[in-house]
Amino acid sequence: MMDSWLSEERDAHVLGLLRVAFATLLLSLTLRLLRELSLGPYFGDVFHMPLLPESLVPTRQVYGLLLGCQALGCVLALLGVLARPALLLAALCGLYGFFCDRLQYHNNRYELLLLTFLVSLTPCDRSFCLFGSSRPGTAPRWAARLVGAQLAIVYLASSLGKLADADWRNGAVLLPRFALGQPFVAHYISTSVAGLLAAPWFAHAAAVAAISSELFLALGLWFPATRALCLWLGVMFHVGIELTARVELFSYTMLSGYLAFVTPELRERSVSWNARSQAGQLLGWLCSRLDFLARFRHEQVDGQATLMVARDRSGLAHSGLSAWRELARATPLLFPLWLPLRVLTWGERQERN
Amino acid sequence: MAPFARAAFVVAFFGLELAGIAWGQRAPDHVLGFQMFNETSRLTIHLFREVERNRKRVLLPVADGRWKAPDANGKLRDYAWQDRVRYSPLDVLEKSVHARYGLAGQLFHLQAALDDVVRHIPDDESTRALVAKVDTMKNGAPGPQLQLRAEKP
Repeated sequence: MMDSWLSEERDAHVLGLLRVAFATLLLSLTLRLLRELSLGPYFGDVFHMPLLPESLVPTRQVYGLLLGCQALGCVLALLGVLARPALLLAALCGLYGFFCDRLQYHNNRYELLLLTFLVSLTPCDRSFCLFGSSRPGTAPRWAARLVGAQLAIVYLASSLGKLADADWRNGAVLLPRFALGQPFVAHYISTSVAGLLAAPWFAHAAAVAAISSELFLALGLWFPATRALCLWLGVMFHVGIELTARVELFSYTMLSGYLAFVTPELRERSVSWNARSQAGQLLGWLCSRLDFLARFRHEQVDGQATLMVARDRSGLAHSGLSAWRELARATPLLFPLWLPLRVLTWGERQERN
Repeated sequence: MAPFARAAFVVAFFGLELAGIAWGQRAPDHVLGFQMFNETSRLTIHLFREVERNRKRVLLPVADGRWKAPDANGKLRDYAWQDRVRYSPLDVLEKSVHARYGLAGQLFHLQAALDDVVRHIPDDESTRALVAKVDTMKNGAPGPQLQLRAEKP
């Protein structure tokens, strides 16, 4: 099993998007570090705590050069020029700078650098290239599994750390955080909801939910039966974190990493729109634009009885809300709608074509 | 890359990372440990200089982190805690601030900051040590006031 896992070759199209996402995220971090360097003192000239020996901490000029190389690597990777070596260079420069001062340690930055390093080992240079032609087809995909494993490790380490901490388990860590949000909730939502945020039982329940979610995310992503639910939960989890806490690029990093769990094969589903309806034409065009993971074959059918018919991987045809559910399941920007639609269509019988 | 080399890479990469996580779980600041939102703690740092008065050591509060002290020639020089310590939250004195990555982590960093600053004030002839008294609050519950100290070399 391990051998087949290490030597499997599958379509590499989606990995190009993974490269674009991580090059963009790392470029954003690099620009921030360059701005900090230009506006303030260099960390090596003031109080700092290197993880490497002090003699390996670069001078201000060398550090600036490293950041420059890092930014250049990101830009080249983004454009698709020498994409893999450029991304690898950017990740290595970033990791070196990162280990030069533990005071600048942020989980999200460390995770971003590790994931970028792993993405550079995947065949991520075969698609989404602004310069040079795409090379569609299969390629070794073992490193993409490592990207997934890296996500799982973060969820697992975080959840086990919380599980081992009595203050976390009983809600003592969350309660003061909720208290900070109380005035906002009281002002914009309702005082009764704000009262809920002050209740220790609510903080305890939220802590149990957070730990369970992280554990589920660490394990559930690996099983086809739970993957979609897990991805949906992960999207909600990170959107929630993004809205309520300042976590730099953490949410974007983890959500981008979810691309490693996308089934590599392309256009195994289809969606057909009623070509006679203006709405069908417009929505068909829009959905084909939103389908950047190339999940669907897009068709316009003359005289189709319903606005839209979606066929899943097994060829089952879905219409009405079920069709929208199938569309949401495989279209990233519509994915948050998938679970509500799944619940609404729970009892519907699927019509075999 | 041959499958054997891939397997070796996987073992080396994740072995190193997991070792880092295990080390980070025990490190006071949980560096490399992926401990997200591990605490909701706060600290207030009160900084003091320890000087000699009538052969006794006394603590003088350092307002806003700034003080004046004579050098070997008796000339008064200006010093500031924030000249060396630019790191948030340790650059904020006399004000309650969030202890990022936990109280233990920030106390660990504060001790290192005190050690660093006393090493960088060789011209200050009057300061014998820097002392930080720290009011703590761990996960919403008030904790003890702790005292950290760094003797000038």
